[in-house]
Amino acid sequence: MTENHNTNTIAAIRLALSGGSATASSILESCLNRIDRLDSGIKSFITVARDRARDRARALDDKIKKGAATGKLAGVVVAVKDNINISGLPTTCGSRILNKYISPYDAAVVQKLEREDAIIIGKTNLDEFAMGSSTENSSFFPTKNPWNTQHVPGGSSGGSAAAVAANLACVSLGSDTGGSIRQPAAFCGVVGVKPTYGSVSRYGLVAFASSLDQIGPFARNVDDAAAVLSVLSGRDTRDSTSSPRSLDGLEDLSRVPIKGLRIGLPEEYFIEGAMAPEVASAVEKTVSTIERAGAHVKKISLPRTQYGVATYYIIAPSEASSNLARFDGVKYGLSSSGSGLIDSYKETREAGFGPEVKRRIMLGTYALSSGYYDAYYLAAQKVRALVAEDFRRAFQEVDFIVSPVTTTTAFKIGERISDPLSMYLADIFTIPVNLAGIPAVSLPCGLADSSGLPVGLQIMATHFDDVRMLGFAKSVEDLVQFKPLEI
Amino acid sequence: MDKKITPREIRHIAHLARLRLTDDEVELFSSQLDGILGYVGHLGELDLKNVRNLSVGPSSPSGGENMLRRDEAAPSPSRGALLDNAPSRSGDYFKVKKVIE
Repeated sequence: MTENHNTNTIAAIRLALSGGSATASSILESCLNRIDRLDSGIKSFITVARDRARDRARALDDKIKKGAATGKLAGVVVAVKDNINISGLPTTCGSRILNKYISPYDAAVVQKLEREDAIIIGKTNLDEFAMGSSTENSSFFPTKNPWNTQHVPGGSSGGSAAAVAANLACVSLGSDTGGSIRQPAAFCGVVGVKPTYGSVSRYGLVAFASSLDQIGPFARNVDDAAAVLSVLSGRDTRDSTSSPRSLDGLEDLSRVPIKGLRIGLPEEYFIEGAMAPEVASAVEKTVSTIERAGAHVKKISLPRTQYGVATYYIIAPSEASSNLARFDGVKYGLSSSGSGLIDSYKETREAGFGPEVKRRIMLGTYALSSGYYDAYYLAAQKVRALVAEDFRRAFQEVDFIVSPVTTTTAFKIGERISDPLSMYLADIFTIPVNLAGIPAVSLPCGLADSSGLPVGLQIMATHFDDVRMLGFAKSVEDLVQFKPLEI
Repeated sequence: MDKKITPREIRHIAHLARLRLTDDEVELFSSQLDGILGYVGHLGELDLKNVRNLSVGPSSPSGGENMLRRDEAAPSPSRGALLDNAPSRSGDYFKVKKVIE
């Protein structure tokens, strides 16, 4: 079977299936061939679900042959981050502690994708339990950046970003707690969306920090990301934070005209030395282009920006220390025996968790422990309210806020792994969005001058303004004409 | 919040977190957590007396509404599939170490 390069967007797949120039099976085989050819070098997949995907593609082809109606994502090949459950497949979370765990159920997003006839091809690599910014914290292997395999793809959803960048799947799913969709999207030159908190059900997502976690899509263009989000979003009673507000207009997304838009640049993000010069120059060039297209670009202030990372690194580890208490070796996964029940828990968790996960459990347990709760967790929750207030005020003055996604382009494998604090500090532009619960998209805006690696532009919007945000992103996409990777 | 975190304190936290750390890990985490806690301690600079906690009220990430559902019976994963994941079982029971001596 040959590789078919004309079916790498949802629109192209629709056209090919309706015109009969491709079948769901042939599109899937083309992706499987690319995985065989390229993924030994990139390592984006933990599990490739060949047989399951082939069965589903064949069933879809039968349905098409019979002339039956097909779903909105018919034949679209999707890769899923391996912290999202698919019935009958392993869910590893990139951890040894889930050794031999086979999911007995489907996540809400998996049910929704498959109801619309998407073909799930496999499960992608991640930092263990989504804790990290490079995918180097996976217990299995690091994923490489398809643009330059000496560099990280970002994280924690590095496998999902790399898979889409290398065309191993048409679109993919990630989860974003402090930037885990947007940062790898920026590093890999693809579109990544962190939707409004509450717009996508997390039922079946392995919880990391529940007040921050959100599932969202990766795609090669804004239209495809919007089409996937339209399927993912909507109320689900199995996630108590799932909102009844719907996101209408994501299918056949309309461009939001740039002329007359009020665009805010947070002055606290653009301070001297905050980002690498090559990132600053790519972002500034894009902002000038937006301004020339008729937008009113103005400086705004998000005064609590400097406290965002500290707030996050109290709240996220605290919630993680509680969420990860369930991994005790009793009901599933790795189990090491100790001299009693408590000892068995300790042995299991010592053997099963990697260093970053242990570090965050320790940090969270400390912050929640008696005598420290007020100074750390309660203080962080209050600062979080102030960060949210900063955004609320800013969105009274502007339609969208624009910034870089990251402080640098993709760094080299091994460069930051021994210094956790420096790795944390690099999340400064993405974290405030999660703290406030607002939506944001990472849009590739160019290649950096010196490294030649992609740079991402972050567009932030107010709660539940995801559709207009993506409509604006689509207009910017037209202006920047980013060339996706060809390999 | 500028006192050093001691190895003794690290061992206590590890016990609360149900982690058996090696001596090397105790040493590593003492210094790393010191650095991280020193950094997050900057929040102490802010006057937060009159600020409300975000986890409750209308400014919470999900809009502050309690999203309730009807308590209705619905299919759940099969008992067999759940038990198949058990590292150690006895018939239809999860097997654990003796709890009461």
